Amino acid sequence: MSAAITAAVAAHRARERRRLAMLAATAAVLAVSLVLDLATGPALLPLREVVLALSGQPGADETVSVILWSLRLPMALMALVVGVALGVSGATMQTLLDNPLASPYTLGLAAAAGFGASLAIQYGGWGLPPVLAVPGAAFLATCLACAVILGVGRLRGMAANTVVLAGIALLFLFHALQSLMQFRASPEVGQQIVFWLLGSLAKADWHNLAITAAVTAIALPLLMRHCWALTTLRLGEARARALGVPVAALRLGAVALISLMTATAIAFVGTIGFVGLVAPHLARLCIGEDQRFLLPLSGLMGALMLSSASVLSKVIIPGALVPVGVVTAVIGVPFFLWLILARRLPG
Amino acid sequence: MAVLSRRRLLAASAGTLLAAPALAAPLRLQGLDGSTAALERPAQRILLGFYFEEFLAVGGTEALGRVVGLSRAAWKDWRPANWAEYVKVLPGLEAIPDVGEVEVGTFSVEKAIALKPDVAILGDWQVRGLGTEVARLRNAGIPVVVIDYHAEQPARHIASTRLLGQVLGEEARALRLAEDYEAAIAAVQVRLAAARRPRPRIYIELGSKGPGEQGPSYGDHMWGALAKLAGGDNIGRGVIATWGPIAPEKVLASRPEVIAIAGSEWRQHPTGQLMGQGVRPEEARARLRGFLRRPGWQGLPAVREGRVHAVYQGASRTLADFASVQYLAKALYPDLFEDLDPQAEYLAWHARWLPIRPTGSFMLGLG
Repeated sequence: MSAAITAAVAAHRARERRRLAMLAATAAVLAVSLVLDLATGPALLPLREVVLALSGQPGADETVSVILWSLRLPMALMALVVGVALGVSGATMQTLLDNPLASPYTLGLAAAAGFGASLAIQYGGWGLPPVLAVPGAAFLATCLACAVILGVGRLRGMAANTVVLAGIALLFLFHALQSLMQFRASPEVGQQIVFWLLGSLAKADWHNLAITAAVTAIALPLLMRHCWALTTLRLGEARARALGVPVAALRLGAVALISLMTATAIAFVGTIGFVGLVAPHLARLCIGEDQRFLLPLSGLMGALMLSSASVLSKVIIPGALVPVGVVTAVIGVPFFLWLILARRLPG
Repeated sequence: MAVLSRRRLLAASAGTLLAAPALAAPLRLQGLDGSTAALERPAQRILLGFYFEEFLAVGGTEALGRVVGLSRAAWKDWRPANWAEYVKVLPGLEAIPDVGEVEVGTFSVEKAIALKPDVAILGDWQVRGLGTEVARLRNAGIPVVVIDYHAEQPARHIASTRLLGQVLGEEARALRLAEDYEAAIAAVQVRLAAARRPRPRIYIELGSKGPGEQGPSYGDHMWGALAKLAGGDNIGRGVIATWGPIAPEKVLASRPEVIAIAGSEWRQHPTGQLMGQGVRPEEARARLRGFLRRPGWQGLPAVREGRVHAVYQGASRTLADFASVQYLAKALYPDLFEDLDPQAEYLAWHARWLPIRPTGSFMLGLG
């Protein structure tokens, strides 16, 4: 008997080690992607100059330094932070709501952000500078959407289906409002709204990177605290309740945290919706349901998806310029389908 | 008190005089969006976003040597035949790096900065489209000079032209261009004012989509503003802010007395209105007749009286659009402007200021 237990524990530890190795491997690939992201760009700078400028040596060309320090570096890091925020949010939502389609995008949070942003773009930001007004409005609209979802959910005891349906209803509402904004806008402003909706890392700078990173850094440990409860929830809502997990309170608290994190991330880079849906699935295919590993890996996968999409958008046609949001979807969707069909689950 | 301030004034002016040879007074330029840009001297490395022909008209063909980056698609893709003509006379054009185009979202701030321009000349529509990206150019130390010919207000045309003159150090030439433009527009206005006629209703449509689909029309912007200068009562006014969709039944209900379809060399559209470089008049008229088959159009006064015209998109939002104003004025008041030959004026303007000699259809009617 004790031999069986020892064997089971050993097997479990071995699984844990495999999962840790998986996390480490993803982090390593992510590091490579980050380096490539910094090394590539439409300006086609020689690698030597990039290294020189990054190391901050006095001989570095001033223009190259500006490009690296105020454009490429914040963009590359923003891809990581936003990828983590969206990946973790998506994974938590899918678990919380027991729905593989749940993500910040499908629950209407991204659409709400888009509506808030288009409102600010259309009406010139009510006297505030656009760098503040647009993310601010996107953030407020997302919080509003989240409040409505949680409010409706509360009325029905935070039942998963109610929350999902409320989210989808909001998705349609905010899409309609977005279209109204686009219709009313002049073509130039309409263009700006479209690009915002498309999502782009190009808006990243040190200020908004710092804000996004800070919010994510605070929200992540708070979410990770729930990882055992979330893992239990995967056994089914009834069992989780029986084991003493306060399901309704967990949903309320975690959705609020996720919304805060998502709202901040999308407010600055626009609606990069696909990542939040797909990254958790990729992570689950690699690592299984143990939330202690699933949440971090979802975050890493999200970061990797965004970072590699950013690299690809720059190297597909060197020197040419392709919006990154488009690349994420065009390359990501077939890849995702292939993964689903191939069912590449590790043993 | 007075003595002291005068002494101070003297000291200050002496200081300026002494400093002058060492440090040229920087150019402080007020852009058409209200922003300011400071340049040490006329620019030697220029990033050019739009208004390419105005740039060449003011700076001459030599000025092209100072262009380090172009928003190429806005020229090559939008007016391919015109681009081809310029490449023939200025082969260096093709070697100028591309910074991407605003409307399709490819404009790259990184590439723009990497080209190390000492000024970026952008259209007001580009600055609006770029939004907060423009601040990044400025933060990287690149002054952005905003010009605008899209509004089709003579004062903005003139201010934009003078700005080009200052940036390029060709102020005399810019002044001549601006004065010519002002005079041509004023000549039309004088005749209109003297005649005191009611304004005929006019409908203008961007004909790129062909007769099958209603194209965008204009408010007090671009063709709408040109029609106003030409003494027309634009039916899109009050319905459309700048440019955009108008309901087909609104067009029918407004019973326009004159219709103008704006065309270009967009041969990729099988039924779109063709106009411009290398377009034969009979092709242009055949496409234009297609629009008359739209439901209800046969009953419109403009169609019944044969007052349907095609104008050239490339002859709007440019210094040469005075010829389009003349043409629209002639279309609206044929007897008042009988003596004018606007297309000839258009070609003569090119001969005077630009290196290409356009051939093709730039303004014509069905009559």
